[in-house]
Amino acid sequence: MADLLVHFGTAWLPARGLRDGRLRAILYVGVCLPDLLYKGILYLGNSPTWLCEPTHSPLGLLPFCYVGALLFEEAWRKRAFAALVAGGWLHLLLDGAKNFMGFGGIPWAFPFSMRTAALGWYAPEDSVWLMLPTLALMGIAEAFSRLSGRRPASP
Amino acid sequence: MFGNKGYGWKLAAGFAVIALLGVYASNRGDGINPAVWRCLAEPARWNGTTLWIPSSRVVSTRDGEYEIETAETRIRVTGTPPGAPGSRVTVVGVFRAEGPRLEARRARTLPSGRGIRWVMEIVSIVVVLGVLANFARHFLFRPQLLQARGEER
Repeated sequence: MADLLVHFGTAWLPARGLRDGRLRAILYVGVCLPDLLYKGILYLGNSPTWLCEPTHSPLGLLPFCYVGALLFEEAWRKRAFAALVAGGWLHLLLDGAKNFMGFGGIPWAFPFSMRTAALGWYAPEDSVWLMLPTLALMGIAEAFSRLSGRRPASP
Repeated sequence: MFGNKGYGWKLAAGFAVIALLGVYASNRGDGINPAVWRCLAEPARWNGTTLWIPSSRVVSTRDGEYEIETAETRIRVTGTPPGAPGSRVTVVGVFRAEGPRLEARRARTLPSGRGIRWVMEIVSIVVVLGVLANFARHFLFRPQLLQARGEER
């Protein structure tokens, strides 16, 4: 949860290629979704941590995105589902780069296996140092699109 | 799959799958990385289990061992102390029933300042609020806006 700015940045940059602002809005929700669901179930539901684990697995995230997509009007459901899943999986990819000291991480094959794996590139507490590079990248992308005369994408 | 036909059933099925996956994960994960207090309550059951303690505080240090406190539970750890008493550490180790104690495999200190953590949390909350506001801007049903647009024609 503590590094949502970095997660948002990973969705914001590729989302600039999407023409539809509504699709981008859903993608942004999708990239925050795993942490929102995890913390929501953990604290609001007062649940054990393992009960929340499906929110941080690629297959476990699908039913959440499906229910989320069903809340849209019929014409939008498929696109909403795809955007939520894409955002959620993007979140998992970034989390999968963290270092959990060889223990913990993302249960990539859940529900078929409970084994977790992570690349171990950076410690979770170090993600604060990724905030500034993320903001810089977002600023560079914004400036580039303005200088090149392209109409900047609305949020 | 995404149509309106049988909408209620689809929604119910989605929620049912979510609940089942949660219960399944909870049952399967019960024996993985148990809380320290559970290990101390039933040392024989958890003997030899590998534990990862994401955050704890060093209470005291001695030669080749130290004591940590996590979630109001203290446990003795054998190994070189990663930090002085009072420092925050994360430890991976094997729980041993005799003692009971933890045999440290890996340990490292965590940043001591809570300020950075708070900044990260606040920034994250602002990001969530911004994302939700942007979503609402695109999808919130605003009859007054529709009415105003209708009047423009």
